[in-house]
Amino acid sequence: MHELSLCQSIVEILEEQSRRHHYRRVRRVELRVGPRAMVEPASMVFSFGVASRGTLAEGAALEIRPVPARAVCLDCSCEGEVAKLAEACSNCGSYRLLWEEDGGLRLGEIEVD
Amino acid sequence: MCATCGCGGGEGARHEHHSHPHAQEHGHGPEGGRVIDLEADLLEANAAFARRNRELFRRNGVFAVNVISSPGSGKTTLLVRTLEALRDRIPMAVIEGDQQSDLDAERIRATGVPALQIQTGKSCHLDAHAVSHALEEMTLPGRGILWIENVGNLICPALFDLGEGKRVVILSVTEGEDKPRKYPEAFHGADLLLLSKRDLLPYVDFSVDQCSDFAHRLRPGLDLLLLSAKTGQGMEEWLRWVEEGWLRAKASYRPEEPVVA
Ligand SMILES: Nc1nc2c(ncn2[C@@H]2O[C@H](COP(=O)(O)OP(=O)(O)OP(=O)(O)O)[C@@H](O)[C@H]2O)c(=O)[nH]1
Ligand SMILES: [Mg+2]
Ligand SMILES: [Zn+2]
Repeated sequence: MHELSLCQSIVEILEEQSRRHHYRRVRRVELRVGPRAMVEPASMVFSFGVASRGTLAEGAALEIRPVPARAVCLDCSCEGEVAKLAEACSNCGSYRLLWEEDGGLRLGEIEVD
Repeated sequence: MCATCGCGGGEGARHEHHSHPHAQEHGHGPEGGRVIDLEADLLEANAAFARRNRELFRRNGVFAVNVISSPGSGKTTLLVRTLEALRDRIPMAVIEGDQQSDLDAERIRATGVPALQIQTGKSCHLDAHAVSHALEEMTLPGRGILWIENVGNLICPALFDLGEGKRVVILSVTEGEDKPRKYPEAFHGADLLLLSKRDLLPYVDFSVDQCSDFAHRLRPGLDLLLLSAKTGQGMEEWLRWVEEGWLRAKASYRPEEPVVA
């Protein structure tokens, strides 16, 4: 359900940025989603349709691109990427991973006219 | 107009508090349009309010606790018991988040502790902005504890930092030990996992060990307590955890320091 409020934030940012970058219409929006963000792609696409109606982003394609997080293993000290929560260390199989970078939830590339 | 952020106030007020991303232009994309890389953090607006709230708590020596669980796992019941146990020694206040109604705030007020109800309307979680407005309307319990009961929902509240000092996730034993697997984010972000309704353990197949295993995969070293607000079993350990957090937070009381956040 928080997908809708996130999509409202996306539309706000797109409108804000249209004044700085002088565009009138958005065709494509890339969303970079880390494993902690817990957004459901189908729900996100649906919500974006609702939130963008009547705005400069109406009809834009929403692309969801997963971004891995970075973590260090507390057992073998190896550092690596994690694609989802509760993943084991790829080196030793331990679940005692300390997350350093959570991948975030960011608006990436947009394509505009 | 509100003092925190200059918004029109009221429910559903929206903002332009986003950080200004350093965008780069890259020529043309597959749809034939101009490509700009915004690299804009969607949660930055919330994070900015969370920083302000956290700073306010720090200066006032307030231990702020964000309580998250699915509907009906016993948040309000536990808060009522906890307030009754500590109200004579510790200044406290409660923010109640629900989609509708004032019912939980009334249950809290019956203990004599002040409570402010936030009705989130369509929204399924509290966010730092809603909390910052609530803080303007209430008297902060300086050198005390601010309890924030989030909207009953194990998914969405997990994504929104409120500026709290600690985050407590409650899971009642009737919900099943697989919940950390199904709703990992709540557990990943928790400081304490409380397994509630311990008195019902004999009637359900709930494996505390399995639940603890799953939860520790998500957050190594996560503290875990098993208690019943009904019988009081396990309450002592919980109250000890609360008091330790309170003592630590109280030590940061610096009301004379200027606000930097
Ligand atoms: N047996 C038993 N029942 C409990 C316990 N704690 C709470 N309950 C019952 O669980 C139900 C829900 O409790 P609440 O405290 O309202 O739960 P909540 O998490 O605040 O619910 P929402 O705010 O609606 O999400 C009530 O019927 C309580 O009496 C407990 O320790 N044991
Ligand atoms: Mg409640
Ligand atoms: Zn390892």
